[in-house]
Amino acid sequence: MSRFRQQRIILSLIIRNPISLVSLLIVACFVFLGISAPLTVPYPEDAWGLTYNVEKRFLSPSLEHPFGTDALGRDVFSRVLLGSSFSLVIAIGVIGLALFIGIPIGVVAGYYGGRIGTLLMRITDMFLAFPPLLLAIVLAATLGRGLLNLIIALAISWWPWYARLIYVQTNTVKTMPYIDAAKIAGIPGAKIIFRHVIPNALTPTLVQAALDMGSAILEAAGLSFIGVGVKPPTPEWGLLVSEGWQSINYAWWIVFFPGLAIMITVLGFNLLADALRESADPRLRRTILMRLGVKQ
Amino acid sequence: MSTALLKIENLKKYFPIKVGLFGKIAGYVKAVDRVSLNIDSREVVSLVGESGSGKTTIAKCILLLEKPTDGRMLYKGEDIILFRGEKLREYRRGVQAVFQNPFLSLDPRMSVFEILSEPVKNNLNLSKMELHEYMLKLLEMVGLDGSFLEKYPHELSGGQAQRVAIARAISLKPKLLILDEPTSALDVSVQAQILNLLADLKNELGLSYLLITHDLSIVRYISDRIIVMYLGRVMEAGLSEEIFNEPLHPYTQALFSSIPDPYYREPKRISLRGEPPSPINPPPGCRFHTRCPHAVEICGRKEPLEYEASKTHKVYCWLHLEK
Amino acid sequence: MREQPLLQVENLTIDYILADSIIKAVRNASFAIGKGEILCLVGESGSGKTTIGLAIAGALPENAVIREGRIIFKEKRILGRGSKISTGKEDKIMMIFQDPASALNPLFKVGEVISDIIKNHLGIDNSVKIKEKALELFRMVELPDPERVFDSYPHELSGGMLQRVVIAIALSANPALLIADEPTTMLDVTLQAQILNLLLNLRRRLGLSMLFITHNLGVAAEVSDRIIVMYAGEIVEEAKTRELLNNPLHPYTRGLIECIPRTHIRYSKLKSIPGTIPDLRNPPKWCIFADRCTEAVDLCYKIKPDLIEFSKDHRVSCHLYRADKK
Repeated sequence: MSRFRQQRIILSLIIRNPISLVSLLIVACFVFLGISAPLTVPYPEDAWGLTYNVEKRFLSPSLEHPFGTDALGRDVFSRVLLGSSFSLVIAIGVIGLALFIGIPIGVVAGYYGGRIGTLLMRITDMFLAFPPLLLAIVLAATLGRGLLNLIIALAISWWPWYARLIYVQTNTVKTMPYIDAAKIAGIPGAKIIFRHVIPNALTPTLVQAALDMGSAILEAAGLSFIGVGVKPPTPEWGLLVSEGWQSINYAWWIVFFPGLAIMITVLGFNLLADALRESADPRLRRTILMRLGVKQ
Repeated sequence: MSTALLKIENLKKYFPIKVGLFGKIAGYVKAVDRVSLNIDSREVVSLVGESGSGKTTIAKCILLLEKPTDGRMLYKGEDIILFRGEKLREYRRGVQAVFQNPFLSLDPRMSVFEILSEPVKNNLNLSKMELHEYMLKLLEMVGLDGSFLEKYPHELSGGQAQRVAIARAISLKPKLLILDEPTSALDVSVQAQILNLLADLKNELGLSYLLITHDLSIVRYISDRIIVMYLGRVMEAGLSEEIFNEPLHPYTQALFSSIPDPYYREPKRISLRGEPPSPINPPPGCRFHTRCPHAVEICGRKEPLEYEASKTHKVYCWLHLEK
Repeated sequence: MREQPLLQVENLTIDYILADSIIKAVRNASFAIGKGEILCLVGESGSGKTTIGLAIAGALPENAVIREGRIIFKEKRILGRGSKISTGKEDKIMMIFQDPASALNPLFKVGEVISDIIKNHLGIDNSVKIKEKALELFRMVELPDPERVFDSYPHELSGGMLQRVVIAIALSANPALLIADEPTTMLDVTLQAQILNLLLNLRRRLGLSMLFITHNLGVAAEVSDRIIVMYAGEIVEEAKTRELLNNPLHPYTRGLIECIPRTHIRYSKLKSIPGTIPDLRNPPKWCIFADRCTEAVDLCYKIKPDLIEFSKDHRVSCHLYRADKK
């Protein structure tokens, strides 16, 4: 069906460009590892941080421990690998929750407008007035450490952006004659919102949400690093970096590998985001096609 | 005397102009100002006027998309504004609309089947089979075949998309269709197809139309009566033949002479001076007097009264009252 | 020998490259515009008339490709895409569009915009003189109260006034050719009449040549000396305005004329042309209009007709008028 033609074009565009292709592979790898890691890590107990082994402290990378071991003698490779699962959960959790709060508020404010709309958007603006990272730190510190609290804190600092975005889109969509046509046909308001407004207003917000995955991982790592994120011994990348920080002079690998994981993943997401943005813009898309000499 | 299908009395719609932080009302756009009209069963009334004449606002009021500031709208003798529940649903079914740009009035994410079935599912109880058959019948009525059910709006040409919009409008078996510039977004060759289709449907289904347009030239053969509006007020109203054979208001005359016609040339073109004034501060007296080639002193002072050229032909102009 | 025309278009063929297809927008278009002449390109949507205008103005969008042909302006060859048109102070081609509001930056006063252009094009530096020139142009396009217009922002002016402002701006560069793409389509009929009169006045006073693009044969009849009818990217007929209207040859032209609702005739039914335009991604190799033509014969589905000279200054592309049938 032609509805999917656009997606096919975008996909083929991404595959044609080497940088976008690499970024796509990174993200695919990350998602695959994130899903499979809990089952495949070589030292599950080390990975979950359930044991420690004093004899194996600070071993440098070897065949047995490719990323070395940490201060408690745990396998860094296993912990970094399992960390991808946590990052995946955090990314999906934060963005999902933020969308879950932001979309209804933005759509209701945009569609109904008036006093309700003004009230909802003023609340949104209040959240937007705080620097987002600062807000997340304060919230995370108040809620206490833990995976769920981290997700909630980040989502609360995140949703106002989505609320704004979908609010603006809703305002455009609601003036379209097909909305009038639905009203005239006697379709109830809630049904108009679900069948006409949301599907037509959602795309930019969803694209933005996909683009934000990398930032969510980075911010979560940041919060964990300064000690308001997940609880040890959770193998979250930011926490791994902060745990290895004291011993960086004689055991660089404890910091280096989780740091590298963060960098590659975030870079992958951001490059893919750029590629998506480029291919979603029809004008840019045409120039890319011309450059590639596509003939169809 | 039989009651009209739709009767509008002294309809007013003022849009407040809000300024500043607290939305202080600085004035009003008088989009529609004391307009009365009625449409009988199986009658086609055309509302003709340029941008800013208020014709689309009237349509929006009738379709309950805007709330009138003042005045009454009666459907089969009952006040539309008071309709609730089943009455409202019946009114919605009875009055449907076709808009100017079919690509904007069809949800781009829905197939033709979804577009056509949505109002039907909401209002009538049909089984799956019956629904499908009804869809096919609707398409046939507007001159399309069943293959269109699967298509999406962007796969249709302008004329085809407008046919789908018309099919949706007649799907609830309405009594009255509001046609808001139904052919202005279409090519000339297609425009005629759509007008002919509308004329055929009217006869087949016994519909009434309120045809809203800026283009006098398309209304003659389809309309029974014509109402000419300018800046929210009625200038002239009469039977189609009366307006076409003997336009009395200078504005109607100017409209006629402004229509570019490849063959027919008036000996002297009445080119109106200047631009239409703002509806925020419409001119006092006759609203047309600032551009009227025949304006006299009284036109700027007092609003013209009604002049009855015949029982059906009414003009609001001092030129005829002075005589 | 005949005087060299101001502008000559030869075999122009233009494609648009889209993400998943190629639109063959204009195919083999050839025509000329004489000095002081108003030529109308008439056609419905998808006829390629705007593409030709943009090609001449050198303003084709990035995804357009000129496959073939050339454009000769004042005996110099200019290309459509990416080429600079400005060859000298008096040799310019200017273009005005359907929506004047989109042609003006809303953040600048109208006076600032026109002053800038006068400064750049005419090399006048004195601000008093620039303003004088601007006001003169505003008076030339019959704008009421030019002083006030000079100090207005675009949103403070109505559509008709904006179109006059845009015309004044176009004139400030002393163009030899003005391309007007549906300049009155968004205006009310009473204003349309004013703008058409204005363009005719300007031609009379300045000897301006014009390429006027419109979908409305009625408008074309009022302003033009000559009309070219386009259909689905091809020229189907070309003649002097009166000749074309009184003696239309191509079935499409005849259909188009019959479709126009006329105010002084009472119809029982309007004439229409059945069907829709062919898919421009893959236009038929035979006559482009055959599918909708009521007079099509077998030949029409086999061979594409050439644009033949039916009589002096009257060209038509239709098998009905083949030399052997005449």
